[in-house]
Amino acid sequence: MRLKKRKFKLTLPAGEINVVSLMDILTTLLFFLLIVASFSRLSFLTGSGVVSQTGSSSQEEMKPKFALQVIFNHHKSAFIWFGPYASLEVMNREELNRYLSQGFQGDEDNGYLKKIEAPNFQQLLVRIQESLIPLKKSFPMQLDAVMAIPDVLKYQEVIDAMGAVRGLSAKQKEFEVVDFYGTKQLTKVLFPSIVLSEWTVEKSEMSEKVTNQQIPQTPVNQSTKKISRMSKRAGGSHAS
Amino acid sequence: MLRKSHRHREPLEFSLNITSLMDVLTVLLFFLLKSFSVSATSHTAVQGIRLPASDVKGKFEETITVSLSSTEIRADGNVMVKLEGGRFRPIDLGADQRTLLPLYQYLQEQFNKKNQVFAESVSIAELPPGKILIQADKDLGFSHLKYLLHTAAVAGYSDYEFVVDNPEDN
Repeated sequence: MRLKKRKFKLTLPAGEINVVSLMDILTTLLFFLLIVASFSRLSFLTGSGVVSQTGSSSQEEMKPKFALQVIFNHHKSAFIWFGPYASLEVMNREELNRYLSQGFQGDEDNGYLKKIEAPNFQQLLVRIQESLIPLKKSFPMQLDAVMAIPDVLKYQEVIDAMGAVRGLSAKQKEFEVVDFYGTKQLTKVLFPSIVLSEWTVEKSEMSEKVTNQQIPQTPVNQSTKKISRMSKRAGGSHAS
Repeated sequence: MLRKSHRHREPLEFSLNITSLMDVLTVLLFFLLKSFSVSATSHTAVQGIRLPASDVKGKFEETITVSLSSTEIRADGNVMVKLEGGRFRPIDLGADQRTLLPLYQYLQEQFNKKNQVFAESVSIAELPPGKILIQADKDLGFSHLKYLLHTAAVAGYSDYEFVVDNPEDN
């Protein structure tokens, strides 16, 4: 009798994984996350107000300062005032002079002013950004800008304006800046450090002066005077 | 003769298949883990205020929260100033017709309390400005907001943080 060859198939014993405790942990974690989950998408936008200038020394006052103001007249009109820059470091002075000679009024020692108009507020912001980009290219390290807001603008519009002056939106294309070390970089940042101020000049005064191609000293000085008055008041009342 | 056969009734077994339920819970769990962020502060929008929208994103810091609606101004949840007919009451305005006195007093107290530690070595007036978180309705005019900003600046809080809503990208 021949023995039958039996093929033994080696089989592993059936294994069990007890996932009960794992499920307990996951369920507890799930309920915890459900309780603490918050689906709001809040963020914040920074700005600053006028502060007292009581600490400044005479040397600091004599130091040349970059001065840029974006003055909103109303929803469809705004001004960009760019202060004297004769003693400031400029990336490309000739290019800046060429840019300022088109559309701006003024000179290097007294500053420049440009009126911007648009059919609606959003387009006004876009045109303001287009005007600020060359200034940013000329002063890549400067971050400060003053925004003068009239009472007619709503809070949402103020936020939109601040966002526009701070930088370009995600949908807009970046622009190239070159710093004083020669480093090129693409950026969307314009002037993120914004100081808010109030704008209360009569519309007729501003439009008349710009039409006559004169530097409207009065509105700008009024704005500056308002700022300094608020500063003194702030410093005096706060000190008391 | 028939025998009574006693059938031994076996207890019924009832099984519930929860495989798909576990799948759903696991997916939900991973989704919540992904969107969960640990933050020391939490901010909720005040009722009656619709925040403006903006693309800017920033992390909150622990600071005083002031909310401005068409009817009142609150600081840290406490009503400071009430508006009547959309205007501030003359009794709440200071001599400069710009400072909101109840809010100014509250902010100044908070500023002094916060910087009491440094009061011995340096004058409070020389300290850096404090931060203030501002929530306001998006349809309010700047004519209302400027009072709040001025009062905060005068009280030592000239570093503003405007709370905005980040809408979803289209």
